[in-house]
Amino acid sequence: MRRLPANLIIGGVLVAIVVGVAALSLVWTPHPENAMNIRGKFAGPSATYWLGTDQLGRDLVTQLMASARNSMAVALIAVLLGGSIGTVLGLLASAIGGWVEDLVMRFADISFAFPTLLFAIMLAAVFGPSLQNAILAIAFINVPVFARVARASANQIWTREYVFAARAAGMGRFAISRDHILPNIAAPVIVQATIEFAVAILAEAALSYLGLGVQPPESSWGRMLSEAQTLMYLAPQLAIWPGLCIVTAVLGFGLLGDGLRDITDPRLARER
Amino acid sequence: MTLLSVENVTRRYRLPRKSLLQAGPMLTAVDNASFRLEAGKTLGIVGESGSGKSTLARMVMAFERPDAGRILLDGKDLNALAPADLRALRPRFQIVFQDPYGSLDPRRTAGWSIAEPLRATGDTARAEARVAEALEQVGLRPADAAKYPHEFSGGQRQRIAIARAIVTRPALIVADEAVSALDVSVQAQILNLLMDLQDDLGLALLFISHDLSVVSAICDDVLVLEHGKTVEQGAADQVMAAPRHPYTKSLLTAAGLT
Amino acid sequence: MIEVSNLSVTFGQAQAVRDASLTIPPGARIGIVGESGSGKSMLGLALMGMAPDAAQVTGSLIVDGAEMSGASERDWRRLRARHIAMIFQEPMAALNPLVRVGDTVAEPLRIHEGLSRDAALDRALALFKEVGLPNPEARLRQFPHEISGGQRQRVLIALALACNPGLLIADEPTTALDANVALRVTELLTDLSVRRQMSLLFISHDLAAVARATTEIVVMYGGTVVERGPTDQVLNAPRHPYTKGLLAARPRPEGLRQGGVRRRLPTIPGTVPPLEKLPPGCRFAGRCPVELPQCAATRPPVVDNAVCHLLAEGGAA
Repeated sequence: MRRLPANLIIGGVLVAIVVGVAALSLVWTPHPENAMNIRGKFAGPSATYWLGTDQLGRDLVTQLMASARNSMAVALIAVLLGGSIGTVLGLLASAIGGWVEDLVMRFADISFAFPTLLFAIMLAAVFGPSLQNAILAIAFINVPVFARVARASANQIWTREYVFAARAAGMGRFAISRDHILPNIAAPVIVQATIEFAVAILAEAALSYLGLGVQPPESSWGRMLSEAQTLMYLAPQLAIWPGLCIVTAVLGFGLLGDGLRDITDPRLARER
Repeated sequence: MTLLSVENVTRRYRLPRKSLLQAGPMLTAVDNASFRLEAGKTLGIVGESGSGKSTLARMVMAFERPDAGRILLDGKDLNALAPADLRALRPRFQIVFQDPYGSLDPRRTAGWSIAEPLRATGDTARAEARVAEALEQVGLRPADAAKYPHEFSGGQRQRIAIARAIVTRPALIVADEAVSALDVSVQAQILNLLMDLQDDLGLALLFISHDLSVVSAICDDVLVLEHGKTVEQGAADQVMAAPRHPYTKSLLTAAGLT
Repeated sequence: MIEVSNLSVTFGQAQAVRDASLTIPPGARIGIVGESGSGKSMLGLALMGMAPDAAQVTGSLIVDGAEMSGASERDWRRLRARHIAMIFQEPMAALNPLVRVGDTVAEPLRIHEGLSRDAALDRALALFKEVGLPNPEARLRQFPHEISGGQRQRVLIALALACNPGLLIADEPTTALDANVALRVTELLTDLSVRRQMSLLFISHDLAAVARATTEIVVMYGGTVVERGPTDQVLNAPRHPYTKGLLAARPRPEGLRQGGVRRRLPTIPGTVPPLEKLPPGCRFAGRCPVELPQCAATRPPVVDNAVCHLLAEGGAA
């Protein structure tokens, strides 16, 4: 049995905690979501309110849990959407080559040069700020990332002899992409997805902080930060807790991605 | 009857440029090669690395187009065929590669890989039975169809690759260094298997190798390539016994055959 | 002078090398022949103290009178620098692509002999001349990708010679090379061994190359030595059933068709079993065409340099 790398274990545990808490919020929170207790606002930690309450007297733990769920959902949808489109584009670029490949890669170069926030602000300016537009913006920046990873990995697989054997068998480019290329690039794509998940959580927080993401009354870590901003001196804990949550989630997914890369990269695996 | 006819085939590659302003120089990988292969016969293409023998194999398999010349299978010019017609012709010619570890998709079972040529042409009637038959023909058991490549030894994997190549009952198999990566005792088993299959199925074999001793054991005719140029061509027995070109002689000496 | 006795390399249940004994006198040229899984490369690594960490190495290895079994990594490093050097199959993989080949060869001279850079490069130049690199002055300043495969192997031979080793272990030195290049590298190794009175351990599956390079052969199967003897004798009059099978399986151009039918090659039945499934007695049992009842269970004795029950009973394999 090979020893698992430390980053994989630590990342896995952090991710499990964050995902577990998000999932738990679907069935149970200490208090009803958004239940206000105006008289009990800015309360300190107590048996009823474990981490205290915010400026509207809402339970902090409940809000953090609901936020975890929303952040996860946004990141998951955005990465799945952008990742799928990007991976398919990368596969197509690799399978067809020529001008199609050039087109996809130049598109990737251009969109790489475009800051996410700027793009999200543009979307918001045109279509109005909404959760949907935030997801689209995060998905959009993921497309070129996955297109590049998929194309680079796919180009390697296209030179394998079993792919030549499939061509000799009479299989077409798309069938080969489906049967041989996709299953064999799954590992690097999944690793990339984990890392991009961390980036997406951060992006969602940033967009929500700017008011371009999750809209009230739904909460998210970014929104909580944004609301706590004006109260920094009065109640710093309102900013610190969501901040810690973001750090934990980003660190967790980042480490998990690195760990997965370590164990799926054959060059590194052989040295172990 | 001529099965495969290669007529004055030339293939050039552009090498990477050395300076910004000049295009890279051209390398002629295969220079005006011509040969014919009769049904059921074996032709050896011999050469060292850079001789162009693998380029020739890729052109015969229509993975690449020649810059000049024609390649005819069953009298049809491979590079003049419409893609659909070429695909329909694919079951007639198959390939076996050198690396028994790289020629099978690690994520697919042996049976899946062997059935691939059948699926590719939609010829899937009795696919399972035909895979089982192919496995038995190469000396494996039908139950091996459910196993993954890593569960087999190198020689067994090469047998699977051969099973995949014969499952469509082709007329021609291109063996690109198909026994070069194998140990001597395994190599003998695979060479015998190829000869048995040829006799049973009437296969023609285009046998590409750097190893003259192997070529001499299986081929009717040989063609010796040096830097893309054909330096000697003839009946294997004659070339081995009385090589005319100094390059052929040096290969014979190096292989310990003189 | 190197004496190996009862050397075993074990991975858990699997014995990659079992009780190998070997004497390498100064200037000897010995070939180790075998197929994949025969343990020939593992034996070579064990002689360098470079068996994998997971392996347990037992037995005795005496180098110039010093017992090396249980030696520290420091002792092994000193031994590797001064007494034993090794070259491998893939010359590209053994060279750092970012270092000029002259510096690669000069480096150990600067470290082990304390030479200045210029003095070390002078010695590297002399070594390049000795290994027959064309245009050696220019070669010093080139990178590995700028020279051919055969020249890379010559650079590695020069590197191996840098500290004047008493023994050079060459593990499949010609396998990755074209036939003509392989022939010249084989000749070079033989010449160097003769000229420098340096022992050569030539590990290869290529019988033609071993026949050229060596005066003595050790045949291995399944981690054990099955036969040894003068090269001519082993190749022309093999005694062990495995050696016979191996030699017969070589393709030869002896009249392709007889009566219109191509001759089939004699083969050894079956395949080499995984290490942990090898029989406890003779490792060749189960595949041997002349097997006796006792072969699989009990270890065969040595009879005139071949290790075989049948020969012990006076039979001829």
